[in-house]
Amino acid sequence: MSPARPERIAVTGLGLVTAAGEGVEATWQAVCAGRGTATRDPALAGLPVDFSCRVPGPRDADRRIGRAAWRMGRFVKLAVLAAREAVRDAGLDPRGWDGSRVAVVIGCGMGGTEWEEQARRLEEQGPGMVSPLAIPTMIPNLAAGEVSIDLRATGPSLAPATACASGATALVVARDLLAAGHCDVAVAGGAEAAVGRLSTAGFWRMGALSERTGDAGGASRPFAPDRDGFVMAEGAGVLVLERAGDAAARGARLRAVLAGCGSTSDAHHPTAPPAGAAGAEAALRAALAEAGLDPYDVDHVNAHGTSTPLNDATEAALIARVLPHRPSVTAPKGALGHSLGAAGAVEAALTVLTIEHRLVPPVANLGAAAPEADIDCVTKQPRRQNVRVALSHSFGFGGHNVVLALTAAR
Amino acid sequence: MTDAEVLATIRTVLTTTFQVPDDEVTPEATLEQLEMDSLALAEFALVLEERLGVRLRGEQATRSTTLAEVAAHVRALRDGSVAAR
Repeated sequence: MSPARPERIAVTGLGLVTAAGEGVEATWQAVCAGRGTATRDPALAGLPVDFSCRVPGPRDADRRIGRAAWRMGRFVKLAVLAAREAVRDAGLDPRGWDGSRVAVVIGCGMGGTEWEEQARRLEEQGPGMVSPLAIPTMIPNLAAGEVSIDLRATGPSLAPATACASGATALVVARDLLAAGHCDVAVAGGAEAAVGRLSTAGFWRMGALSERTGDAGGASRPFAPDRDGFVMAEGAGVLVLERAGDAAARGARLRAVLAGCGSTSDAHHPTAPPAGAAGAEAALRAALAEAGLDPYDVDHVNAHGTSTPLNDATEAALIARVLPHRPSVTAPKGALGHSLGAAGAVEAALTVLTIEHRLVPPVANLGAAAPEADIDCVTKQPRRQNVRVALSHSFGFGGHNVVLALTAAR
Repeated sequence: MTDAEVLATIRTVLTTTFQVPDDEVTPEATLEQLEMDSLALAEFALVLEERLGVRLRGEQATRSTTLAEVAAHVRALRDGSVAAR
């Protein structure tokens, strides 16, 4: 092992809880089927946008999570379930590991929205009827905190907040902690359950949400000519990362390699991408450079693809310009909606599955990409493809650009 | 409402909201034995107030308080609030 060459970081475990259900397989099946999961949402009744991609159940979640479930906000519960699955999938057992060498990095864009109810209680019933859980269910780092408790992981833990890139930023930070030797195992990803009335109204007022109320399942349609905004979603995605040498030494399955990460900032506007997407392009090029790869090596792009008119146009132009050899493109938000701070991790996990299964899921609700987008979107059905090098894009309000380069383990 | 009815409500709150195993919920059990910490006790008092209409004071539901004592306090508070009307 040469100190001059940083050791490869491997993905050894995956855990997903999304609108398609609990468990990696449920989400993989749904994105491969290319069906939208958005439905009318009773909690949003009466709002101009009254549909979302809720996580169903999860069935019996409180009993399975156990005696700490009462104090957890919904996004925290989703994180705990996804983290347990990822750790189990990695063949690790928290009862036996040295928790001091385990880091937990769970990004979150919004924090819990239980406080919307508590704000109502404060005004209607007074401060004495505000739950003492108002704060623990609100603060965005509690997914990382409760996962560390649940897994007895006493190494570093934190919660990156880069809005819709938070889940991807968490993987970058985890990679850095591993590379620096601050931990031997990193449990990293994102969690979000922010489909509240106020948050939905707020995104709607920004003009960010699809208003396709008569066709909820078809509302999220990344890169489609008639796309009109994103669809609010819940979810959690967690990956287990280890130095490849350590993982191989314990006989773990190396599912993919996180070969490069690029993180940049637009330094332009809080919510709008700059024309030309120079920051996103710099992130893409940085991820490839770190991986020692050339743009023409890229086989596949898991796009941020939110289904908003501006994001998708900007991103399509970026892909067409920097990757003109037309790698296959998918956008899981068509099927799963936009789980904000979870999305970057959910999509990194899906990118790992694409590499493993040599299968690119289609963009749900997309017949043909908008003519302005000269990119090769996979549509209608999954495409067989030997993907050796894939990029996963995540862009967040604040001008945060994160691109992950994932490669086949061998 | 009898002590038994109050205890039944307490049991429901503990086993559903707080995921306490049913067989641990006995009149002699202290809140500490049921793994109720200070944050849990504050939430417990709030949920009981919503269900039973009276607010336990802090010293009426400490970690060393038994469930039988909690039930007695709730009943006394309910009787008091009825008598005051």
